[in-house]
Amino acid sequence: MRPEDGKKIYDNIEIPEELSRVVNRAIASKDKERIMREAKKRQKRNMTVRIFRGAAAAAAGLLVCVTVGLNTSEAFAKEMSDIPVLGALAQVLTVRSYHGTDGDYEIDMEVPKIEEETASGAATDRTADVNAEIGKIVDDYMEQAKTEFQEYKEAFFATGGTEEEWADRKMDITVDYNIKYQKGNILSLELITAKGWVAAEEERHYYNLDLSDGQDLTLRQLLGDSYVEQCNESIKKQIEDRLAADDSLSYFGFGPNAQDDKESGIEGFTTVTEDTDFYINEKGEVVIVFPEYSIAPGYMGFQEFVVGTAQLLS
Amino acid sequence: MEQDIYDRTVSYIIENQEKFYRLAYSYVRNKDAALDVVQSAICKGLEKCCGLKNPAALKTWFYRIVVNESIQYIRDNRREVVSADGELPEQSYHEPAYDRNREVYEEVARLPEPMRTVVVLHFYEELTLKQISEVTGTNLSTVKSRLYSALNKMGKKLKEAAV
Repeated sequence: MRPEDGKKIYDNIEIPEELSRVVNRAIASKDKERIMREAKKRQKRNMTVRIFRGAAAAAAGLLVCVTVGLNTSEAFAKEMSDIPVLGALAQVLTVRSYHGTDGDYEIDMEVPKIEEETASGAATDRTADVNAEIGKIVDDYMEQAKTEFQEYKEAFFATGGTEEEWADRKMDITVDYNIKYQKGNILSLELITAKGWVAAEEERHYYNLDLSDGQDLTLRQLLGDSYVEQCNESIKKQIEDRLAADDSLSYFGFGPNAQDDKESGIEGFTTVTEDTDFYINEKGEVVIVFPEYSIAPGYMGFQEFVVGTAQLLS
Repeated sequence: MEQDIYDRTVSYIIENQEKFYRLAYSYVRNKDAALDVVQSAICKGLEKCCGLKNPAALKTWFYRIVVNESIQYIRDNRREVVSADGELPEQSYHEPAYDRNREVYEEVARLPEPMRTVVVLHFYEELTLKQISEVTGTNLSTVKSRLYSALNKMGKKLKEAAV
């Protein structure tokens, strides 16, 4: 008996048509600029961490969260240049920055905080809330990620995994943010939390703020009273168009499998609500966002739809 | 320098996507699952490629990601992947006539980890044992002993089946 006899079957494993699309999309989903930038930062930081460790060997192996006050830490003051300035009204500052390895985890954190320059120096209530909320999301996320990973670790050994195999496994936890739009007193901020081990899982949170009064911007404000109809019509049309243009795409409840989906109780996109996630892009357009798996299979990733120009801004 | 490694990784992925798919499929045995594995392997690989110290190791490094993603996928979906009677799901159709190739292939698929990885990479992906040791992060003698135990096990099984 020769194992190479099986190669014939192996080589004949059918390559699905959608493979190249999935591959291209996965590549396109990654932002080279960002990755390169982070890699550079990491190199820089690794040096910083080593200095820390050298100075305080006893602290080695502990998870150190560094809270950065502006200008209080020389090591991080250098990164000031990365901080975007939002008009005269607000700045988004990285307040917690941690990059390093902690046992089973590799953590990359850039936690944003919105700081406003008001006359009194005090943040408005809503920005304070947003900051508290961001802090809570990040803390909960870390907590949850670690619990999950511990459970996984136990299961790994319980099912016969060896220390040797485990050694290479690390859970990546990433917290990062993007400023989607900043002009005048309007701020659209995206907070990304991601963990990678079994599969890369990502959550995105959006904050759209009018800093003049510290209020959340709503779809109704940005698109008008008929925003639900406008969005639904636009999104459904875009889904149909995308499906027509590329048959490797798939949306639950649409296209050739619509009937099957319905019968098996899979519900795809139906309607936006006032709680639907969105951001404002640099052109001042409203972009609706659906998380992975919510309206389409996982390989489709996050789904975004430009639904119109934000009225407030024009 | 870093610019190069990112672009090199991208072209390497594009050129070898079918290999990655087959490798993933040989583990998860399901089209959608294999696509998911390939997708997350690419995402992981691109995030990490800047940390790759030795560009010459790109091949074994990426195989390692695909193998790890596949194994983790199976671990995570164990209950769904193996049905109640222990049969592997989504078996492609069995040729009615006695099919030695298929039988060997199925026997390889049934090998426990980490033996299977060694056999698949060596006989199907035609990696050298040295390369496999890089992929699996183990030393060469471990790879060899895994290969021999795999061959042993398969030999016995196939003989039993023939009786």
